Amino acid sequence: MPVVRRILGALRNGALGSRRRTSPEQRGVELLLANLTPQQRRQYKRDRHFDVIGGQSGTRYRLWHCFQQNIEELDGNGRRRWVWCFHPRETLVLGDVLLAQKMALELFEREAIRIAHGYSNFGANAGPHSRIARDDFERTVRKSWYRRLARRLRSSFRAIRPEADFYRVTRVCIVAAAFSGLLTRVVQGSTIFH
Amino acid sequence: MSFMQSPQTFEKNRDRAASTKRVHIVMDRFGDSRHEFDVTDAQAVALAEERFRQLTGAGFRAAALSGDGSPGKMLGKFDKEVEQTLFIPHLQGG
Repeated sequence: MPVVRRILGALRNGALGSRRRTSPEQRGVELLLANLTPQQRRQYKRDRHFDVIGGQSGTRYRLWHCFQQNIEELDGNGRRRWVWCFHPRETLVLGDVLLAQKMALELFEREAIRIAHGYSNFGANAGPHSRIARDDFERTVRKSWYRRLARRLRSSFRAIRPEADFYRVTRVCIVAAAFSGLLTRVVQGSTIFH
Repeated sequence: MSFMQSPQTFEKNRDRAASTKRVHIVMDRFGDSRHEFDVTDAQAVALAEERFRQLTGAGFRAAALSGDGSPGKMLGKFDKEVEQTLFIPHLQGG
């Protein structure tokens, strides 16, 4: 029974789960997700951004999954007013950067905006719509099981695509055989009737 | 079957254990470093206070995490009752 007790203890303490190896980027995203509201979490996973309300002014900010120029200040109609950029001085993973920005805007908004650099638009190659930002999001943010399954299926389909000619020829052969069989029966039927 | 706990007992024990456990989360390039300590252990609390002093002295800001995503609060001094303290490095414009 001591063995069973140890296994149950391990399961209860989450020891098996903690052995999962995760990259620093994934750890950063996990920490971020753990400190978002359910609504922000859904928005982030779906749209690569989440909204934060400034703690002092009540202004709505949109934080994008991107290292630079990733904070949009929105007006009452949800349109962009400014793009702000500030980040921790140390080199951090992106999840930590986003969490630091969220905490800063909620807890010491004025100071954060004072040190931030302002832009009228996103950078062409560094903004949230850049290829780098999209790839980083795909790599670090864990998708739900059905999205992962769909992705696997898509990649499997791409892998067998070079042999698509074989499937096409097979399909044509099957259709031809069925058609010839049908034609034969029709001809035989017409012979019988005559 | 003495090792089997009823769900109520298990929850009670877990809550009791959780209520005395605190964690300092320091953002770094490896994602984060977590330093756990128990409030009933005076030595661990002293170490945690020293860590808090050193990090805030080095420019980190300490914030109490709410745990549900709602805004936490800034911490000017060490508070051993805060369950999760996040240390944010100094910010700069980009």
